[in-house]
Amino acid sequence: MPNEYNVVKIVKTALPLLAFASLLGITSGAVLDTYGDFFLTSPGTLILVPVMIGLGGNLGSILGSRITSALHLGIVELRITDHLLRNNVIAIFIIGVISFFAVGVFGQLFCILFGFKSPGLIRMVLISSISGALLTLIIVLTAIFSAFVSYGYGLDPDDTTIPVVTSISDIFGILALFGVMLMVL
Amino acid sequence: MTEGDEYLGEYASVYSIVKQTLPLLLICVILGLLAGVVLGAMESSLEALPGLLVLVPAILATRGNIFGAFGSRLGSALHQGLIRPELKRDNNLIHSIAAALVEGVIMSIFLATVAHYVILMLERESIGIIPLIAISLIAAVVSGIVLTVFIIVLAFAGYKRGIDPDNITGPIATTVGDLLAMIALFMAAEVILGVI
Repeated sequence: MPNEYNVVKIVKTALPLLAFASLLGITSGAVLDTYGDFFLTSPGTLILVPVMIGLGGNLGSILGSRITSALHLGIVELRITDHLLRNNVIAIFIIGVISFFAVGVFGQLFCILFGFKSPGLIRMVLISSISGALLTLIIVLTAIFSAFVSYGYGLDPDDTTIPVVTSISDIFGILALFGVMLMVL
Repeated sequence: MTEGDEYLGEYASVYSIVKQTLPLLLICVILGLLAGVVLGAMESSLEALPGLLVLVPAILATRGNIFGAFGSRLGSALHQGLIRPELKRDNNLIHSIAAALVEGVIMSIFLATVAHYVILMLERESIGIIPLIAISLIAAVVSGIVLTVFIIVLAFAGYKRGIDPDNITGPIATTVGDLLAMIALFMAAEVILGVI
């Protein structure tokens, strides 16, 4: 059995990318910490933080992977009338709306189960749905933009799109959540 | 309509995309909220350990990146027959695991150091570079070991049953990774609070 994998080689390849991604993560953390006192006074909304970031990344990864595969197959164009692009975007918005609505409902349920102070079902659902819709919009634009731009520059969009959308989701997930919380609470 | 159009029709239909992805995403919602519950339960540690909150998104993101790549390597190696789905000494498997753990250790030190100086730059309070490194290192090692075992067992079990490991290791690395990282972070914060 040949020894294909070498720990030094893997680590050397991965570290620059990991370091770059982690700097964006720290930026996101700095935003979170700046508004931290606000989140800490309302633990019910603090529990939404990981799931907002995570879902944004998941939605972006799904759309990104689908667009990049379609680009490789040559079956998608950057036009509003493009059937494949339009249906994928519509599908992501439907999935986003349902998932972020579920975040509010289950978030409220978990607050009750685990005894966290919550702003109430209506407000939890409003916060998760509005900030989720905003985040979905940002993620959709980012995924389309980074896939087509990478492809245009001759880069493999598979290598770029997912790290870009997950990092953007890390930052804008928290900004959207906080912005909407200020409006609703 | 040609055969190609029919294929594209199904591939591009809104209904089929939603049907295939929504169930998995709803599981991600539940696991993500559980990670949030752990974060919410850390409220008092977060107040006692200023600066820790800055680390949270970066730790979750790094965990997902390292173990997403680990799972992806494992999937490719299983498909190529480089690694066999058996739990025994195997140099490729050992190097792959070692790489993930080494990356975790280096990144946790790097993250805590950068976070500390960013906090100081923003003129906010930090508990100090050593406690931050200790927390992030303990969390990385504990969650890294558990996540490694989890991904290997599920990838091997899935592969033997004909499930493509590429379809399951990614979501596991990000969602289960978030939950495990939060639990490990919670424990690490408690340990450090006990020491200082």
